[in-house]
Amino acid sequence: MGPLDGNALAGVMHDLFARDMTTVGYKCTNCGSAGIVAELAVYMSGPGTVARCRDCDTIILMFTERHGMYCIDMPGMA
Amino acid sequence: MDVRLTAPDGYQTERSYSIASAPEDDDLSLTVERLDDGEVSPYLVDELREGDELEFRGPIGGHFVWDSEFGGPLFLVAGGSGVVPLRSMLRHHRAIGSRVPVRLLCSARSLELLIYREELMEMAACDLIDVSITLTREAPSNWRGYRGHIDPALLSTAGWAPSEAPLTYICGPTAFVETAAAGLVGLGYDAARIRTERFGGTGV
Repeated sequence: MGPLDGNALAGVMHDLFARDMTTVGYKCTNCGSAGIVAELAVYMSGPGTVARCRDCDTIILMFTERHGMYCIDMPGMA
Repeated sequence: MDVRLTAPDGYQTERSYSIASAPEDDDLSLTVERLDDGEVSPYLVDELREGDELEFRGPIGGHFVWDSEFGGPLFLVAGGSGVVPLRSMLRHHRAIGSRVPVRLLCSARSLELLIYREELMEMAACDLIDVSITLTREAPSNWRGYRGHIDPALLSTAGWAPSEAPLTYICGPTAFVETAAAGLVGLGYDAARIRTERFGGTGV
């Protein structure tokens, strides 16, 4: 499965943040480009979900789920 | 919409699908393209039977939506099954009697593989809606539409002049969306008025 975009995170992000997160803005800590979550390049075929900056490929956010518990990391989000 | 399947052994998996129906339609419709190497779509297309239960989440996601307040003119660009959410917008446009002019550009491998082709042809009879189709692999011998992959020349012909400040929605496989978005920005479209949705799927 090729990369999707942040639109595909709408459902799970809504469960976690109790709002639509796809229209929320972000700024990449590496290249400084800004956008909204819907525009991120999203990889869902691995064990977790990884969202990368569309311009420089930096990992903006990751999350994994196990036994109903989520682990969220946002290393590239400013 | 997210669809979650649970196997008898408890294994769960979920996928997101675009809504094909308009808010005004009686039933919610999802259109699922069967991917041969997919985990979920072959089940939904081949195995699912009336009465089977699925878990849904949504609809959620405020990015790839058109509200009549957003205005237009609208340029809708679809690659393959990317036409699905655009069909929802067109049905909504018709249901509310919108006067916003719409141009739709669909790219498909062949006419047979163009989802909703009959409905799109019917919609094209409306003065406000202009439908352009390009076929990338096979075309009928009497085909009078476009041939080949989208490029700036086709986007320019099928779309609006940048000076009309169109609102653009592009949906399709990632490479298609990137080509279309970059092409339109190159033609002078305002990147802030281009909305995109990318998904896995067979190419165009």
